[in-house]
Amino acid sequence: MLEQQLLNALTLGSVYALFALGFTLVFGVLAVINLSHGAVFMVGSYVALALVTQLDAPLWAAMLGAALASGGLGLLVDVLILKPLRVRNAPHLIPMIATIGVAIMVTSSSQGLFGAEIRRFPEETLPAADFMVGAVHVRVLEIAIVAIAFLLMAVLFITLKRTQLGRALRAIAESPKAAYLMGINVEGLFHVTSFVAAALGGIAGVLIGLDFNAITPQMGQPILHKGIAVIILGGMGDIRGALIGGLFLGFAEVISKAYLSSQMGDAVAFGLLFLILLVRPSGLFGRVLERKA
Amino acid sequence: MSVILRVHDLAVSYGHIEAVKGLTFHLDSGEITALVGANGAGKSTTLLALSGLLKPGRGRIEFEGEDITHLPPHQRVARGLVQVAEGRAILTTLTVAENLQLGAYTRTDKARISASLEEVYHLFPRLKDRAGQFAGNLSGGEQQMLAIGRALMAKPRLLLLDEPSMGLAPLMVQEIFRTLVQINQGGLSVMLVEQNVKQALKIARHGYVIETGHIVLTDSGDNLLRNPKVLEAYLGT
Repeated sequence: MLEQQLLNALTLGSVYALFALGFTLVFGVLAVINLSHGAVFMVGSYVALALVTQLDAPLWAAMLGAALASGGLGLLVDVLILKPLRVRNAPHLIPMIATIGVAIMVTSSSQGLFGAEIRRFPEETLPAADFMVGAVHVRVLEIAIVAIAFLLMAVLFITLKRTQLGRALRAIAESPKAAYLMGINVEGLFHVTSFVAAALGGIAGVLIGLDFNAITPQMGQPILHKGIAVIILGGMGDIRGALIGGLFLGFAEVISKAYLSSQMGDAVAFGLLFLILLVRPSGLFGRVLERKA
Repeated sequence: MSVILRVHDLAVSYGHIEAVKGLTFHLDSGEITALVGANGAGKSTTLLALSGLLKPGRGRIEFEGEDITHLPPHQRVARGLVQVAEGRAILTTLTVAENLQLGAYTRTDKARISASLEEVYHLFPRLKDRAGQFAGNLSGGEQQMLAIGRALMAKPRLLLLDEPSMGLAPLMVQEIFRTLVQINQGGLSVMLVEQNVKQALKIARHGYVIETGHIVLTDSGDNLLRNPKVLEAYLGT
């Protein structure tokens, strides 16, 4: 029934939003479409799985470890690949292609390391509690997923809106040159942004891994496509857009799977997206982005 | 008189094209110095190299006695070398107040920042009226005020201005230049880069004339205003 599906949609949508948030943050600040974000997401869920199964770590610690590992990977990509391209003033397409390369390398290495089969968190490590609200069966796990995703999004939103760091990031997003002239360490904040965005992606990976309890080396690919769709729908570089777009995609996917066709959920969701973009080509919160030199 | 900035043999290229071809000049502490010349003479390129946004091919930049030639841009701002860029590079998607707060980004004396903000509002009361508005909604003159006010928030020791008169109505140009004199009288050293040669030399103690990447004339502002070559080339008389 509908209420149950709405809960599923909220859970899925908030993870999409969290994933898209890091993606859109990197685009907004670095002006790069970082296509390794899906691979970073996948690494997050494997790291959490390893911490839980190998070290008997509690879930919160596994999530923290995943955030650090994914964040570190994101930082590494920025330092080793994106920075040299920035220094050489490479055209926008080049970093995007380079990050596809990263995604392929990371994905195939994971396949070599962990095998291609589906891995799962042991049942006893997941919070099993659940309860009924009316006719809706609510898992504590779902509540936790939604709460974590929204908490992280709120922290990021307030940081960007209210703090000097946030103002500096918005300054870079509008004009790196102006930011330099105001004494902002632009390179340093590129690194910080890459770390934070990847860490958020890694946490999203853990949350998806927990929600479906299925982890594979290929899991980064479909969510990458969805992430691209979400940030285009929301408006490139816009935080609110990532939230609304992520929730929209989650709802469209779950509802169309439940009521139209279980096989064609993605087709319907992406079809809807396409229709929206026909009406609003710059996305829901998009403005025509113009970058000063 | 002490020297706040000393530049020796500065050369800057864009690819294979050398835009600035070995400039040597200095700025006296506490004075307004003008660097004037036609469009494309290398004025903005010089300023961008002073701020560290362009890397010089050769030469040396000394600020308050220390070699800053290889210092990254943000560390130059932290030392008090602050530029108001051409085209009033204000942040249009941030509010007026946010622009000013960001101006103080490198400051470590956090307690004094609100006092500086009051000083800027005192200098430009219109900015206070518009504190909550997006900077993109300001008029051209107000944007230039904001750009200067934001630079002052960094507590500069030397203020570099790139074409502050550009695109402004004559009355507004007068007002901006009056404010620059006022700021300078408070003890701040100012380097003014201008195509508006007459206005710039009027308020400058000392001036340099730059042509195709070379300094071709240097004298006091008053003398340059009377110099036949300057009159002929830039003032149309």
